[in-house]
Amino acid sequence: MDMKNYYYLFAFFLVLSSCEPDEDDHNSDYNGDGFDRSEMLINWADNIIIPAYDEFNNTLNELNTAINSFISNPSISTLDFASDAWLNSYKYWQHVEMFDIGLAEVINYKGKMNIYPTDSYLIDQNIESGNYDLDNNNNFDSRGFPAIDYMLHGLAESKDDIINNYISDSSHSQYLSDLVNNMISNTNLIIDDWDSYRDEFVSLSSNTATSSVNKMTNDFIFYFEKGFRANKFGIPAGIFSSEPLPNTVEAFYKKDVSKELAIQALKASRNFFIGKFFNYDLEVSSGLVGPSFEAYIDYLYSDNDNLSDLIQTQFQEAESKLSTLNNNFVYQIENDNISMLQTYDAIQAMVVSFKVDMLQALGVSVDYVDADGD
Amino acid sequence: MNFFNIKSYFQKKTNSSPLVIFRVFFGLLMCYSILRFYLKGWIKELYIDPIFHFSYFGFEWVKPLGDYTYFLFFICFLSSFFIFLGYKYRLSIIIFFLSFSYIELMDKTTYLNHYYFISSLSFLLIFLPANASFSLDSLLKKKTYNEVPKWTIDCIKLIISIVYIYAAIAKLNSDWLFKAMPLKIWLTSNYDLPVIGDLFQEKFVHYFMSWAGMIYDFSIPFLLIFSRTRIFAFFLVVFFHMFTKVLFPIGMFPYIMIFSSLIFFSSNFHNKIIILLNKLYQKINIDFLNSGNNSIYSFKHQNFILTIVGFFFVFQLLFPFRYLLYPGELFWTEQGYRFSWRVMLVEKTGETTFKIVNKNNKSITVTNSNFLTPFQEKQMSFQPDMILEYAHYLGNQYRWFGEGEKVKVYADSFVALNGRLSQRLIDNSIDLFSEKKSLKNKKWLLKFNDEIKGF
Repeated sequence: MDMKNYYYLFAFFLVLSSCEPDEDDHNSDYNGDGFDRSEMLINWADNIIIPAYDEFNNTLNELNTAINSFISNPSISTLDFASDAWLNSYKYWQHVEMFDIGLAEVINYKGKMNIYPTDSYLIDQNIESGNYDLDNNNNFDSRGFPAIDYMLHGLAESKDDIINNYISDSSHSQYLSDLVNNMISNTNLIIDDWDSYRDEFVSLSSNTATSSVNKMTNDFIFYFEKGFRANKFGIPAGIFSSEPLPNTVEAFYKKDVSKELAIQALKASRNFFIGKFFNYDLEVSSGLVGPSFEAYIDYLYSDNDNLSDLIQTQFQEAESKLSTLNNNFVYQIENDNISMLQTYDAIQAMVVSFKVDMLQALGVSVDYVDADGD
Repeated sequence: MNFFNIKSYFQKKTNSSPLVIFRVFFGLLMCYSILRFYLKGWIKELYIDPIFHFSYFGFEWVKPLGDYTYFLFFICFLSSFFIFLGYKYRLSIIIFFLSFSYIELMDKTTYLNHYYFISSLSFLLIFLPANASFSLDSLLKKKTYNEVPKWTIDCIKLIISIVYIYAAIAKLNSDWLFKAMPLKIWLTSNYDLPVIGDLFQEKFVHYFMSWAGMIYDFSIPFLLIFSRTRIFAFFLVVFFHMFTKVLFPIGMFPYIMIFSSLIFFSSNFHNKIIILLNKLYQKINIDFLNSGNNSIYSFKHQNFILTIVGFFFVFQLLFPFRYLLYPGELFWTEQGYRFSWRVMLVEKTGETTFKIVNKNNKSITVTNSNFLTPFQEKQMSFQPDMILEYAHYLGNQYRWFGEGEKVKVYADSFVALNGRLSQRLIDNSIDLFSEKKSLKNKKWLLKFNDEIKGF
């Protein structure tokens, strides 16, 4: 061996130091393969997420108007009007709850909008003291849609008694108005942020823990498992407890709309999976479709078992199970919890498809698992 | 080779430089590995934060030590540093072997083949005179051994060769060779790499890489042994491992394998490294090359040492084949999967939920995140022995729910292997809490509904 070996050694160290990849983010705009992830992100942002937020914001403003007219003139008709506006906005909410990304994640937006069951004692206390900060996380279960549900439907047994609360004591009106204003201001923050965040979201198309594809995939699955499966079905049906907990259903005080909200949530999940454009009329699905998980899976699984067909079938199965349920989940759980559990099982089967099959196909790693492999 | 030849082989001496340089790099790399582990916050994340830890069968007594775990890592770090210096070498390598192995045994979740490689290697190094020269020991005792028994260097080459060849044998299966799985999944998902990200979408690239990886593993020990192909082989080693480093999050493994392969180089080469390194030491007034009289190292109890090393290699050769004692598909049941150089071989994803049932037939489904970290949950979800251990843990945690009787624990487990659609892994009518933890065949595993041919 001669001096050459030193050069080899030196060259070898050079190779070592230059090959070290930037572990945090080897993000690039590169998208040369047959499936364009940037297109998918653009579809998600421009055709689904941003339009859904905009339309949701409109319904919130309508809710605000309705609540203002109720407050200034409490009557059965203005109460009904406010209640309808609340339900309408709550349905649109189901189409944005899963987008826990960007500023929404930072400020815990969904935690400010829809934590249920709501804490009626805390709300009563807040109203009495008049001293509360709705953005403070101590109030996580005394704000958002569930709190308005209580304020419009749960203060008393009869509508007349509910109205009397507002006539006799202006602090109720104040709290109700503060609730909706808090939701509007937080929603405006998110919408304003998407103005600038959109370009960043679309550009992060690589396969890293912080890229948009991976984060959105994880968010979608997390929402489906927790926000949809567990919160709307599992917890009230008593899957995670020894007895059913019917008072934990969504929209507990309004009672007869928990199914309607769940239907919207399932529809939102399916539309996102397919890549359907958001349609302002929730009853009519858009005919326009852009790339999303379905197309992505089909690209990756071109010569294999058809996973996207399986998931589509599972969506239908879940929809049909859900359609057999009573409008009021409290009634459903108390009278025939078996059907509720069967619906849960149909949804759980989808969680397996998403978490196991889809994640494996996509090669997306589970949220923030940071360790070496071999 | 007759008996006389074997006997004379074990009397053969050779220059000690490859062995001592191996020690220097080994110590240095271990220092860095442990420091890196600490700096990434993994000691806390993996060993202190979790409320439950997965144990190896027979090693249930090995548990993290709370805040003292940091101290354990520090001991391990210190012993690596002493190994690097060659200071109190025998004691240091024993402490390193014990502390490193203890760390690896604390939680099965973090099992990696290359950790096992480090443990195996450090065990072997206990018996080798890797401080013969270019070490503080030789400097302080004024005794340098320029020659050591040849087998002490050859056995390191042997363990490295076993790793490569066993990794190659493991790749001789129909999924790897004829479906290009799991490389197809892994390569496709590296779409964001410049230029090659494109290529990784191509089917022929998936197959090419699968076959090339298998052939590489088979041939690299031989290419390293022969001096004419050695430099070519070394460049292959560097290229291959850096390539995998770019593709996969495999931490220190590439560096360890690259540096280890230097052992195959001649003593002249290593002597030059020593001269180079000695110049650095000279700046702080240490001169290893003037450290006392030179002599030839010979073991006091060579036959005893050789017996231990012999048993070690018999174990290394046989243990990976223990899977043959179990029925069913190895990749599915993972019975006899670990400690066998099955490196980056399968892609598995799972989702396993547990139901606790009491005597009144009331049930609770467990929210795994209440007990496990995301990493633990991910690993547990597709590994049967971890599922069983966790089921036992849950059975004890939910004792309150039993109303005086033992609860039953059922697992609902779905696993996808190498891109196949997921299927149930475990018979969900079996109460896992009453199934014993053992090395026996796990009868509650469901049969894999496909066939993978080969090793």
